Parts: sequence; C-alpha cells; structure tokens
Amino acid sequence: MGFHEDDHEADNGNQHQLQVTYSLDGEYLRRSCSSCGRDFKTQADSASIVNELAPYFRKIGAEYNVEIPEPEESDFLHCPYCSHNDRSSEMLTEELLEHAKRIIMREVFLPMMEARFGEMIGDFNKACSGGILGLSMDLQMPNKIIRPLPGPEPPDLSVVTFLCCQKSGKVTPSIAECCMYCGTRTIIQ
Amino acid sequence: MLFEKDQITRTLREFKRKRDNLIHEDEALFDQHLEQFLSLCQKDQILSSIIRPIEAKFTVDTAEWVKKLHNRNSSSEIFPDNLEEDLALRLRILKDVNNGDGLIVQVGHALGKRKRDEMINIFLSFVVRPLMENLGERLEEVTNMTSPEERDLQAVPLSRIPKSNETKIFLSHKSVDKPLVKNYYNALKEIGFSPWLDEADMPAGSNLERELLRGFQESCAAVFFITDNYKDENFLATEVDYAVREKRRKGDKFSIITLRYPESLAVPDLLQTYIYKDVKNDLDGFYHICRALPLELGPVRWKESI
Repeated sequence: MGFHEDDHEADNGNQHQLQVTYSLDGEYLRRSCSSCGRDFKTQADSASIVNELAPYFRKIGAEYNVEIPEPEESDFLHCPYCSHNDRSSEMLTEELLEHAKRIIMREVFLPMMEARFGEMIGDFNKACSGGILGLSMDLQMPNKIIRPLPGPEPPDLSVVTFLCCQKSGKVTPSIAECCMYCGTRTIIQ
Repeated sequence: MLFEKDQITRTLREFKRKRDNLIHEDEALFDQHLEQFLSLCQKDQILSSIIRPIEAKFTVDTAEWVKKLHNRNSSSEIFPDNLEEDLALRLRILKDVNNGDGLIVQVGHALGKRKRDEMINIFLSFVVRPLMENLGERLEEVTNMTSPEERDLQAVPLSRIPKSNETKIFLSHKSVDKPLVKNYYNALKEIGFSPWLDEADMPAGSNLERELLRGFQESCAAVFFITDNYKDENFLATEVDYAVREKRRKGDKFSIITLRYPESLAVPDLLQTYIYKDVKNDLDGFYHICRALPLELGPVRWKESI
C-alpha cells in the first residue's frame, strides 16, 4: 500500500510503502458485524485486506496531512447471524484496526512528524541564535510505539461450506442463518 | 491435557487483552498492567500449564543476566538460545520487576536510558515483547492440539431443503415383478431414501386411485421397471400419466427414471421422451436410479449399531 507525504511532494515521487503483517487463522480473517457486533470469519487474501484498511488509513492520514490514494470500493458482506449487509471494509474487527493503526503510527506518521518538526525547529534555532537574547527549541517526541503483536486466535468458530457460493467461512453454527457472501438464507447441516 | 473450547477462548481473549495493555498502554500504568498480566499467568489454568513445567525445568539468575547486559558485545549473548530457557528467564525478570527490585532502572541504564518512561519503553521492546511472542505461540500450539477436528459443516440454501412430504421415490412395476422391485425397495431404504411401494405403503382398505395419486404427489421421482411383464395399461398407464404430470409440475425436482430390462416389451410412448436406460442387472439399475435422483444423501458418519 502506498501513500504520499504531501501533495506538493507527491509529484517528486515521495512515496512510502508500508507493510502490515497480521496473522490469519489459516486462510480466514476474523470480522465483526457492523450491526450486531458478532464475529465471523471470511476467506481473505492480503490484497483485499489492504484495500479494506485503506479508508481507515485515509482518516488517520488526514489528521497528519498525508494523502492516501482513494481505494477501490470493497465488496459487500452479509452478517451470517442478522443478515445485515455492509461493505467488507466496515466489518473489520477493532483488534485489526487497532493493530494496523499502531503499525502505521509507528512506522510512518510519527517518524514523519519527527522529521517535519525537527526541520522546523532546526530552522527556528538557526534564525534565533546569536544576538543579545538567544532562543532555542528542543523537540521531545513521544516514546516509540512498540511493534504490535497479532493473535493468538481463539478457536471459537467452526468451518462451514456455503453451498450457494461454494466458499467457506467460519461461524457460530447454532445461530448462523445466512451465507456471508451472498446473503442466501441457509440451514447448517 | 484437554481443555473446553469456552475455556480456551476465554484464556486467549484475556491473554491478548492483558498483553496489549502491558505493551501499548501509557507507561504510567506499567506497574498495574504488569501485575495484572503476571496474575493471569499464575491463575489461568491453561497458561500455568504451559509456564510451570518450563519454570521448574530451568534455574535462572536475573542478577547474572544484568551483569551480562552491562558487559554485552552483541544482543545474542544476552538471552539463551533455548526458547524454553529464554521464556523462563524473561518471566523471572518480569516477576523481579513486579517485586520492585529496581531491575527496570538497571536495564534502562544498561541500554542508555535515563528517564523512567524511556526505561519502561525499552524494557517492553527488549524483554517483554519477545516473551509475549513466545508465549503466544505456545498458547496457540496448546489450543490447536486440544481442539479436536470438527466435522465439516455445510450451509445449505433453504431452496435446497425439501419438505418431508416431497422426497418419496415411487416404484412403478407389474405385480409379478414384485420380488425384483422389493430388492430395490430394500436397498433404497437401507441407504436412507424413502421408496414408495404399493404393498408397503398402502393401508388395507384404502382407495387405490387416491393412494396412487398421493404417492406421486409426495414423490421426487418415479422409477419404471420395464420388464417382459410390463404393459402400459390400467393402473400402470395411470402411473405413467401421473409421473408425466408431476414432472411438468415440479420440473427439476422430479425425475422420471425408466429401467429397461433385457427381453422387455416396448417402453411406453409417454416415457420415451425421457431418457431410459438398458440395464444388465440389478446393480446396474440401482446405479442409474441413484444417479438420476434429484436428491442427495447427507454427510458420512458411523452407525450407532450394525
């Protein structure tokens, strides 16, 4: 996933690449329904997860004046419990979002702020040095964020193959009523 | 050691919560979160089942470790190569910090930090995070081992679930062929289907026409046994008519399966528009029935008794 530090610097190719590592349960990614809050897991690949995280990063980036390219719209998912229908980017868990936020703050935004303010302070100190009353500033950044750890994943959900879509997912079987991919009402057998 | 699924889920959730609180929350709350994490390690059955054997196996000396830290040349000399010993040492260090031995300050000074929050931060990176990674992997191993393999479940669309009164298999035959058809009836019943046979499924005194009609309405297939005895007349002709009617009404959810035996008479005209099979023997006929039925049976499981 790439983004630009400043609009005017984007033209100079000042682009950063960020790698987010997150452990999946095999091929499954845990999700949380944006309506009822219950958990389920979908099959996932890294490209789609990055695309789903991009809107979240854009919101954080806006606070730091960092432009992140508009992502493609993510697919729709259906909660297998309450049938609520929403974009997959709205059904990410708080844990994943918190994990991604810590990484992007640690690896990108805080170092960026440090560089930016360091430069400003350097310029200020140069300008204010000498004379009768010399002024100087010092930058104290917050402590570096510890690299976050993902997992371990609790084995609280069961694999189910949705015959309508021929895809599998993980649900709580006793309360699942519909396919998470197409919304078809189903019975678990 | 086996653990219940709920217990595993609770332990993993609590472990993650207390781990993340310790690693990521404000340094001012470090002591509080450390105490909570160590309390979890001691009280939780799953965590303590992992930690206690390792602690019993290795004797660790944190004072010696601090000396090594001050005299270090490379980080690989500071912690043991053996992962279990590494875990035991890091846990001992955490417990000593929790007991207020001033270890945080010693570690901080050795790593070039002077302020308390910087010391805590470097301590979390240097000692705590690798411990959490190691312990998390062990937890995952234990929970995967104690979660038995589950049968794969299927989510079947409601449109594919038939009602109980639409799954019978009507067996149309000349009475003289009953011994032959009875073999099919018994085999279909044994594997889980619901075959319909006049002898078995029509109560004495019942109206034959009405019972035949009901038999077809509740069926998903009609099997016609065309032998040298079969003639398209009377009740057999009615059965052909009913079968064609049900096929028109139910479409793909009704199959007309015609089995032509050697030296049989002609297949009835109305049935010739549906593909029929020349069968060499009963097994061949049974195969064609199972293949042509619009129903499928459920997942494999062991019988209760034979």
